[in-house]
Amino acid sequence: MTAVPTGAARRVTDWRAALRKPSVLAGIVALLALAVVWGVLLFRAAQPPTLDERVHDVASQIQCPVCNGESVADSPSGLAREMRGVIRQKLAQGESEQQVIQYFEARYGDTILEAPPKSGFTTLIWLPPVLMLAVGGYLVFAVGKEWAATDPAGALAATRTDEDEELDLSEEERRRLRETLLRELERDEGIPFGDATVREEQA
Amino acid sequence: MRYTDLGAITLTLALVFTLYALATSALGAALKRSALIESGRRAALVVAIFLLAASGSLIAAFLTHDFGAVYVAEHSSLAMPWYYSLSAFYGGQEGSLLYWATMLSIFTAIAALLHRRTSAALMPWVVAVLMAIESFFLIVLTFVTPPFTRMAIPPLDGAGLNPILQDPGMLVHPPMLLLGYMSWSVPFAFAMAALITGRLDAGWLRNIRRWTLAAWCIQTTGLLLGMWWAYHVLGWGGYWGWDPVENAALLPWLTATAFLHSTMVQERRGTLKVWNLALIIATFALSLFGTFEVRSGIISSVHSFAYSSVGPFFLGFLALVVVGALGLFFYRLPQLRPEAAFDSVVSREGSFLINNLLLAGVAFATFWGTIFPIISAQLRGQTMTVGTEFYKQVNGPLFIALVLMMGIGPLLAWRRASTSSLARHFRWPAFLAAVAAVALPFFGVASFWADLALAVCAFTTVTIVYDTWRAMRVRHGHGENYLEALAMLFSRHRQRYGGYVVHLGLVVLAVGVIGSQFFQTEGEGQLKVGQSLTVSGYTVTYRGITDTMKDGIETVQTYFTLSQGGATPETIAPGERIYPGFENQPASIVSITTHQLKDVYVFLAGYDGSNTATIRVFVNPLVSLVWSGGLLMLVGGILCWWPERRRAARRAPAPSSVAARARVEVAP
Repeated sequence: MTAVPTGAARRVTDWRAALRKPSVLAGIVALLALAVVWGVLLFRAAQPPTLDERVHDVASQIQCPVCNGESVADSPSGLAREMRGVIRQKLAQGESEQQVIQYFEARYGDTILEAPPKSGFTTLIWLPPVLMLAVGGYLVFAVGKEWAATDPAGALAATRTDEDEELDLSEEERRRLRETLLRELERDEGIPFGDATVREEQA
Repeated sequence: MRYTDLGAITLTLALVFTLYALATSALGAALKRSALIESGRRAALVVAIFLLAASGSLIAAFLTHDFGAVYVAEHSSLAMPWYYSLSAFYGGQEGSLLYWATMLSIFTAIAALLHRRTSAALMPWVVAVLMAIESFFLIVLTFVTPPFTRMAIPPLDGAGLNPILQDPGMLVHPPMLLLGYMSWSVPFAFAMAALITGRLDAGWLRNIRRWTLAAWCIQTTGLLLGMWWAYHVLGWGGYWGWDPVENAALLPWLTATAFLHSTMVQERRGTLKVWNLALIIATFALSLFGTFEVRSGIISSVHSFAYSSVGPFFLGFLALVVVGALGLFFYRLPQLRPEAAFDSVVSREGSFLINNLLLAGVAFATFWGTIFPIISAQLRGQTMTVGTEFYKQVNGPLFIALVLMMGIGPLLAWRRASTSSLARHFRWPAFLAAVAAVALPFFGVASFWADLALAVCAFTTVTIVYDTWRAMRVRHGHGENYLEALAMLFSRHRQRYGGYVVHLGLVVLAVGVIGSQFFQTEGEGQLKVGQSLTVSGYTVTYRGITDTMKDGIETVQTYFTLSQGGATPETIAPGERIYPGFENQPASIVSITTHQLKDVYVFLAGYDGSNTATIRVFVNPLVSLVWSGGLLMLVGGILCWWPERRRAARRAPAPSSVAARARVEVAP
């Protein structure tokens, strides 16, 4: 007579058995590797950017004042070229990116910034899209909860008591429903009509 | 008689017949008089003929250089080659509105001919709504900006077309985009007809499915051509600048894409009716907004060569459309109850909800950023532009989430997806995406966000390929070879696999965007002859400059040798063209050479006689994927749109083959 394993013991053996399955093992290894790689990417000491990269970084945060919606980094205009020169000069003299941006902001006002500051008046740019997403996300979540609450088995039981005669399907209706199901299957899953098993069932 | 006289007469006649068709269609439908309805339908067909004649007259005036016509004199010149004279037809406001109106009349005629019997109840109202839109355009064309006005003393030569428009892009981008805007009229008209008649089942959706797909394909083409043109002409090394006019073109595309997906839920499950109507109304309103914004100059944009006075009229019409459509919408709201309850959020319809949320989110953020300058001007009296950073930070993550949903959504079952099917569908894609994410940093992807985004693209690609492969295996098991199986899948489930091709195209495009966003490198330099500039291993050496004059157009070409490592150097020639009358607006000739998947993009920023040339060099990885991905999206869109003639013929005797088969088998 073999000993029946207790619940806890069975769970442990299930767990061990699952670990021995190559697919689960591969998944765990992949997740670990992913965690390591993303950790390194996110937290490694960044390489110091070159002067070219710093100039581009600053220039792309400032709008070209004489163009139509192009940044100083993108604009082909002469003024933008001169401004890139100023940025390069100031950075080479040891000013920080923030100082250079502030220099232009002081001269042209905060509307010259590509990404408007997330404070003061320009918060109005950022807030509505975020709010809209939050409200929309909540709505989808709420709808999802509502769906989950309508447990299909319970719903079916409820219908049975309420509308008994509706579930008392005639042969004709049953066939119609089966046809609908088959058509949906064909459309969704690519299972061709008249699959052998289905035909048997119908016969 | 001059061509312009013919144009003016036919335009006026078109207006008369449009008003007649509007009145008789609406009256006939309201009073149930089939004679009136038929008369209205025929009048709508006549409008198309008159407008084709009017457009033909304007084109003829351009080709014959009739500078007595103000519009011709202002938008063309003798020096322009015939094809740019032809494209000047839609180069200004009057012509582009005439183009819009003509195309609308043609689409109306096609709809009137195609759906005469298939949706007899809706058609009179569809014609009436389309004619109402048409009458707005024709009233503006007749009374506000007439295209056929003449002047007493014709000039010897015309002013010519803005140099930036004298580009092959001009031949294809504006007509496609305007056609794209216009083509949302038909789905909108069907929606309005459904609201007016109260026939709010999925019938109107089935009628417009292919119209919507066609409009989507046209709008996609227009957008892609715009990106391609911007890339080749503007000289800043990119293809999408979140410019207000670009945004305006993207907006209806986003809401229409959401509409295409959520209508599948209504067709299948009878829900989301309210949302679908809201989306199609928004799409049409946004395409009017786009047409109007290009013309109005209310927001500063790189397209600002097209300012005009029709702004208030457009704004008024837009307000009328929105108020009218919403009025009808709320009037019918009590009838818009869902026919079936949802079962589970982990289902196809649930994934469509999330897809719609994301698309609506992108659309809203883009809309908000586009109109914010107006709000800012009103509140603070200060003009400003919302820069690209805003769009990148808000829309970037949303687009990546959309790509992820493209992988997940199509594999979920309708109603409810079981946990075991989730594991079956997604374990391989998830595993391979993780492998990609781990491997990519070793191939130079050093940014976390780029790595994440590319891993998502890998996931979605694998789900699409894996699902197609499994479906092929099933058919293979039934005795077809793999190629046959793939062909059968496409021919029997065109919508599904066409959709996969669109998704795959968008993923390829996304990889191109990620590549050029995260890995673009650039350099700038003032070079003397013999000096060189190196960007990411590509060395550009200045060789010299030529300046030639032909037909009044001055062409400046600078010559550089481009070399990389041991490869044979090639000569590239960025430059600019200077057109008479537009001396301070040279059109640039950007040099783009593609090396494997990297574009070397050289823009001549300035030159000082033959001494020095100032150039900007961009090395753009993967940009060519943007174009091939876009092309793939179009192919997929056309696959979805293509009529299923063979199948219809086979099914013609019995509408449902299974029903017929089952009946045969059950009967004896």
